[in-house]
Amino acid sequence: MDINKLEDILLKVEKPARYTGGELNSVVKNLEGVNIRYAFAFPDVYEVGMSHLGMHILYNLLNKINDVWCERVFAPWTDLEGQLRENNIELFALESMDSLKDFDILGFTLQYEMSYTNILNMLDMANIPIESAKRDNSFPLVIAGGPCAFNPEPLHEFVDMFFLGESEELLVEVMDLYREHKKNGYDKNEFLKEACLFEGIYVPEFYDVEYNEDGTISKRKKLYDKAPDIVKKRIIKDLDKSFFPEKIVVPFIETVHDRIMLEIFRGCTRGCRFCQAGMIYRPIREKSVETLLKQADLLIESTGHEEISLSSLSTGDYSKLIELATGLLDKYEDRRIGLSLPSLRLDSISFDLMERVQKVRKSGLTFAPEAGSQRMRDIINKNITEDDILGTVKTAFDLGWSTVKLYFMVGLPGETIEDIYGIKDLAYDVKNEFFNRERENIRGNLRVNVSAACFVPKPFTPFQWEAQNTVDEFFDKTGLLKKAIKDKKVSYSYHDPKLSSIEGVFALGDRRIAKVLKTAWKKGCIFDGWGDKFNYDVWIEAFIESGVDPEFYNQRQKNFEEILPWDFIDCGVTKEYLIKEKKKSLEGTTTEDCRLNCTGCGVNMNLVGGPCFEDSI
Amino acid sequence: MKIVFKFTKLGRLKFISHLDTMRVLQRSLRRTKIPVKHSEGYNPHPKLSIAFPLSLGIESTGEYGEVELIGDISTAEFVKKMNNNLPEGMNITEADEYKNKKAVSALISSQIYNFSLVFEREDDFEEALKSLNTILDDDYIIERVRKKKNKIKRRTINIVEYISEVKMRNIDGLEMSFDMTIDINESGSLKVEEMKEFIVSVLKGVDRIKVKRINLNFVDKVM
Repeated sequence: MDINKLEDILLKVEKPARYTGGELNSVVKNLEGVNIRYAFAFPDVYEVGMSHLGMHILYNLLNKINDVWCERVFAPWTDLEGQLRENNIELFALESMDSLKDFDILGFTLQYEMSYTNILNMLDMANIPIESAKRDNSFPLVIAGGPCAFNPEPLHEFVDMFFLGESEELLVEVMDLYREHKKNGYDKNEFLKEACLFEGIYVPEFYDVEYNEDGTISKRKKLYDKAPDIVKKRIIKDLDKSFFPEKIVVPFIETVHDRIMLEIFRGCTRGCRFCQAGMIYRPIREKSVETLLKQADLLIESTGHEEISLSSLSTGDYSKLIELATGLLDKYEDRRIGLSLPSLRLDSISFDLMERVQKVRKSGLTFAPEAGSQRMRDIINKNITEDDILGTVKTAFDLGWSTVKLYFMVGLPGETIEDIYGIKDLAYDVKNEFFNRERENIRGNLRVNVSAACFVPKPFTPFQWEAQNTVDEFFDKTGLLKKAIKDKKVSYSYHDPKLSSIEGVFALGDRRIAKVLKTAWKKGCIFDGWGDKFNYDVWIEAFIESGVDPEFYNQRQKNFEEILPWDFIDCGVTKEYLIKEKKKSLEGTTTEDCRLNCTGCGVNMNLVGGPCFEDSI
Repeated sequence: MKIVFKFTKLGRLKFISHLDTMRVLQRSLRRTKIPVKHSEGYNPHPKLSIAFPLSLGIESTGEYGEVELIGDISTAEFVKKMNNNLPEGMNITEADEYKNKKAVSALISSQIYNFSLVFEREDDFEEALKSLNTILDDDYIIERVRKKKNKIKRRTINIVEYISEVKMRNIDGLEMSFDMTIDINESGSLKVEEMKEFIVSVLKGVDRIKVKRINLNFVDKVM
């Protein structure tokens, strides 16, 4: 690429350092020794993508292989896109500044349904055909993985092959296969025929889907007889020994999570019924304190970050949290390296320890009660009581915190008006807890920030059969709260119901909505996850033009017998278990944390081949 | 002890902002493990500052910073350790123990920029060479418009008043390179865009212009 031309362009755009590469610990290889050029593609801006731990793991894992060079590419903001298109410059990867077209493999990560249009746009910006069928051997192979790959069908037309589950091992195996094929003259179809035999790989073009008259799926047909009927997700059995980077790229500009992310465990045992992550990342696997202390040390030395954040689905559930946190504080508090403990239940950690954490660097306090009433929390199996919450905030207030964030959802199954008002009541109770303390203890300016998200049913959860609220229903509920919450100390915000509605369609959609995605993108939809870029009216036009009824997907209650678009995937958790959990939710009965008692989700038999963890029953 | 250091910001690093530059220095410093003093208060931060912000998009060979360390270290060791940890494009070229009571930033008197101009036509080039000798003879008034809340504030300034010296460095074919010393006083200094506007309008026929900050001048010796 003409660097002078790019320089002129970069001076015209916002945050040009998003596009220059060259950060500390980024990897540049000599092309002579490289057999496979891989671009890790994140369909959102640099600051979001660089905050994603999975990218850092896979980037370093791939670059550890001598003849593989993994580079990074993020969705350029609209200002740079305009400039690149105007100047006929193809979208490039950050390390080599070469066009994406020069790569062997493009690997997209699917973190969020509303980033799908960016995938099409990124391909198009490099003059790569968006449809898989139009990409012959001369184009890069387009692969994708991440949580949204658990319903890959809306992207079946665009992505050549999906990775289901954790790819630390699978990706290396696929690189070996690709190298073999490249040596003998790469043929895309031949390659895919072999790759689909690997556990965890789904190649959509080897299947076809037939539909009933009512629009539901009647059956899936294989077009390649050796392709598996059921695609099983991959897991890393021994997380403690699995690859974790010793160096991570240190961005020049501030990113969303500008800190070391230390992954302490995978999976979650709580079993919240709305939560997809809680199901698809099972089983629970912890890293040892020894390993984590070693990894933290290496990362601090190699990055110079000022903060370590413990990363997992529920920090407080780590069985040796106190030992780990004490170990990290002992080592780093003198060096002013802070520790952040997101999604933590304060009862799982001592007062003294929390005080030490706060001394180095103050962090915010966030709770996710998810629902306002105990009845509703029982339905969704969020096993947390009002006393838990109020007890914890009181402790936190005594420790000097004065800002509390509370996350809720509206539109949950079985919700009533009382449940909505319960959100307000809980927020006010938190406020009262602050002022009902001894006068001399009341310090700081209290802020309670209430945020309400609109519930989106997700595949592989007990609520996958649910109908989502309509946009109007969501607006009624969020509006109700807006009117109800009138307090200087309590602020309230809510997610856009329209955005959540489209998200619902793509979360629950099948192959037929690929057409809608293409149409919406052609009509100019990109960065849909960004409120100011999202255009609901254009999306609705795209549905109409494509002849697809969005309500069929997100606002229709499905029965247990219906074939769901993602039923061919085995995530380890059985459908019987999801049905059992759904039925329990109707009765309002809860299911306990499966660390205490195995609840029979099936992961131990399907994936682990034995108990999920030591001492588990 | 306090250390004052001079550093470069070249190549792709010109695309990072003042705040980002601070962060790069802080993180590089943390990697050296040299103990740094921190500020008190809610969110303690290392006592490190940059003397005078540089506009985004401009390279520099003459940036200055100061840092307060816990304990003593030889300046040679400081430079070595820092340079092992700074990203490509940023390099400490000089450092010294700093004993002045005033902050380095309070002692700056002017900044020196180098302008490299390429012309397409020979007659334009010759004409520009001649005009350069008299470039400071006539006033050049511009208007600065600032929006403060809902009020629009207008102020006129004379660019020439800020330029204390123009010094030719090099002539090569249709390319000329000269340094300009820009004063910094109570009412501030010139923006790079304003200097460029001035040069391009006084010297006709400039095809490409490259700007680089090369140094800062101080009222008192800082290193």
